[in-house]
Amino acid sequence: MSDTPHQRQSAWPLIVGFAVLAVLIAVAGYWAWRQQAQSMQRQTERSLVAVGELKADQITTWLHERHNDAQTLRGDPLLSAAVADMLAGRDARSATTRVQAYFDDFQRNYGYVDLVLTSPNGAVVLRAPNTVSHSVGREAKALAARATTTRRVASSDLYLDAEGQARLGLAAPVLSDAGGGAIAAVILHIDPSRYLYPLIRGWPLPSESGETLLVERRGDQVLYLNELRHRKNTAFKLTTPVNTAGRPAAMAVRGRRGVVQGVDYRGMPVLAAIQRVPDTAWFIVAKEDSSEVLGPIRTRGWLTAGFALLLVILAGVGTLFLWYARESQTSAEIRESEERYRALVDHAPMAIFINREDRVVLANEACLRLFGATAPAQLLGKSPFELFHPDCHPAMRERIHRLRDEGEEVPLIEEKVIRLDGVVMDVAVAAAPFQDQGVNAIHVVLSDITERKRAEDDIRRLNAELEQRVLDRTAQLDAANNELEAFAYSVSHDLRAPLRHISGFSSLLAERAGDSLDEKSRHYVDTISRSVREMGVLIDDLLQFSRTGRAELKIEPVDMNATLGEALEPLRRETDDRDIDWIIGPLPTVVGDHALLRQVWANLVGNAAKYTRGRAPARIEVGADDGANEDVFYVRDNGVGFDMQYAHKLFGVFQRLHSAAEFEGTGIGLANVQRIINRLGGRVWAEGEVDHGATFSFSLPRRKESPS
Amino acid sequence: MKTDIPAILLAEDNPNDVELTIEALDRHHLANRVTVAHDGVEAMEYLRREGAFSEREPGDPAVVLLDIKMPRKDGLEVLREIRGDSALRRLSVVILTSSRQEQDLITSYDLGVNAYVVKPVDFLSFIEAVEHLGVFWALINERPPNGVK
Repeated sequence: MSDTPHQRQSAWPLIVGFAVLAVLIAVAGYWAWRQQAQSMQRQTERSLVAVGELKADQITTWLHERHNDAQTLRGDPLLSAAVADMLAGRDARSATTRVQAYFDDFQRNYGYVDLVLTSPNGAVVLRAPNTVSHSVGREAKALAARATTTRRVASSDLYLDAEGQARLGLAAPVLSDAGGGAIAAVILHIDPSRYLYPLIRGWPLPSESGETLLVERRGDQVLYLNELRHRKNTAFKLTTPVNTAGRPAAMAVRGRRGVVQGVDYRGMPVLAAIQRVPDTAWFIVAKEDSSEVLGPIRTRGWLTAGFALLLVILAGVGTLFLWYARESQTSAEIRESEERYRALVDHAPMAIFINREDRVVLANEACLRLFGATAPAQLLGKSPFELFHPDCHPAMRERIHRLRDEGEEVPLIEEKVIRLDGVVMDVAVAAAPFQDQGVNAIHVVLSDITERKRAEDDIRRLNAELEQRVLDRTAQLDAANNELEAFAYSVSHDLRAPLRHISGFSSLLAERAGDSLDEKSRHYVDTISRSVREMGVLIDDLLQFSRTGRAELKIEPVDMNATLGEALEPLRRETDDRDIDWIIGPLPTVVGDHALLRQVWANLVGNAAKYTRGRAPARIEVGADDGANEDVFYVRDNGVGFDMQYAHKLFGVFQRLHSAAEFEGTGIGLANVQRIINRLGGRVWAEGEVDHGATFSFSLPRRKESPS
Repeated sequence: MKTDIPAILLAEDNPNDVELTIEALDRHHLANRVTVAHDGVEAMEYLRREGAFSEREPGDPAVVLLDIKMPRKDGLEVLREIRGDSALRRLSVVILTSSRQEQDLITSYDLGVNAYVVKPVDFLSFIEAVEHLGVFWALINERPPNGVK
């Protein structure tokens, strides 16, 4: 299985992702709300400014119309003629009646409170409607005087008349026909509550708190000229100091224009647009409660916040869903993996059990089979010491200590278990430290090695048998060798003795009876002696040959020049009387047995000397050639040679190519040479031609160590 | 001939060899001084004047010629006993044998033999060898002091 162990993925990426998302939503919500708030505030401000401008415009227009009314009176020749007549007393009744009618019409048609005709000094001449009888106030008189003086229409400020009614007055001069000064003045009283105040009070948009103020500076006070929306009976009564901070009305008279924030006469925070009414000393303050302006913004804010919260909750739910999906997938994988591992253990071919606190807490199927149990309950809860043979207990204790307490590893070991049926079985035990639910436990794997044990026993037994057989054979060989040894001893000792006796007594016989023996008898005795000698040599050679085969090799570096010298020395003495050209080349040092190699040289040069007998001069050449991995030595002579046809017989025991009469010899020398060279790992060969000499060669491998 | 020429003890079981050896020694008139022991036991009895030799005149031989292969007690055992006997250990002992066995040679020298001679098969050589032996050991060789008890 290639599964990597399941790692529980951290929830942190999800949490961080969710947090980032939540912050983003909050920031975006706040930004959207800010945008909207600003937009709404600007909207409100624009509305306030527009309302202010509209009011100012309407007031201006209205004032202009009133001024035109006055102008109409000023320029009317009929009126001036009638007034002139009346004042001059010409046809006075009808003139007064005409003026009265004119005034009545005018007053009625144009909605003035009243029209008053005064003399230039302000004395009342006539009134319309004539039912009104209250006196003409100071303001009216001043107005009439100004109009008559300037011959122009004059207008008053808003004022309170003697009855305490708010009034606005206009005065039109009544000019004489002759184009001279004004003969009289007409005062028009306007009741602002009839038109002006409603005009001011009217709010073109639906608003809870929208209100327009008309204010004017009076000394160091600001005077509220109109009736207020939120407080009754304030016109001309409510004032506030010019220097009141934050009061929009005060700001207006101090010269502020446009939109301001402040606190109004009620002490309520307001947003206000300040506008001056052209050609007057009046200021329009269009204001709305901040609470009304901010209310929707706040509402919008709550809405936005609610929406953002909803989004955050959604994101949270999404995150949770993701986490849950992943968790459930992971736990499914873990479950799958656990099942796989459980199956792996359950169906493992090796017996596995867990030893926790000296109790078997888990055993797989193979373990049940191994112990011959049919149900896990037969093993679970048992002590491992019950399951293992008492012989193994000391080793087990030591291993359990090392595994559980030291956490060390322990090597594979062979132990014996006791099956439930009491059969003892050989097992191999591998064990490793194991954490079982946080407890130091041991994981044990057993494998049945009964078969292996049996095979090992077989092998051991076979080996022992083989060894015994080898010993027996060796003993037999030793016995055979000893027999051979004994035989050689007999040959050496027992056979030589009778020979010696034959030789001795035949010699004594020849000595004693020599003279009396005839020629033929002496020949017989000589032949006996010679044969005995030959047999003696033969026996000695055979003994040497057998020794060569058995003698232990003593391998060492051997200087062949010196070795050849040793072999040549006795030979040279023997052949002192002969004419022999010895040609000895330089020879390398080899690795071999010194004594045996000396024997080889003695045989070869001895042969060469023997088979060149009769050559004068005889020529014997000894030398060496370098081979690839060996040194090659040769002994060449110019002797009788041999027929290559029989070359293969040269090195056989007792094989001779010449008769004993020609050349004495036992036929053992070359066999011995071959035996020695073969034992040293080399080869022997010969080349020759009848009467043209022979070359005997041998090779020795170059080596540093001893041969087998 | 001087009568005080010390004797030669020849330990040899083979009568032929005894005869040939005596023949050879006779060439130098040493034959009458030879005493023959037919095996190792007899040789030791002679040397120790025991058994059949208890009545013999005291005095050690000049040389003991020992064959190796003998019945009862072989030559090497005799040599070992001689060298182990404080009274006999200085005796001159020559192994005269047919054996060329290396092991026999080595054992002999290890036991302190004075000479080791292989009997030549050829009679003339044999006579020569025995003559040399007899002359050398009986006539030339100076014996160690207090050789005679």
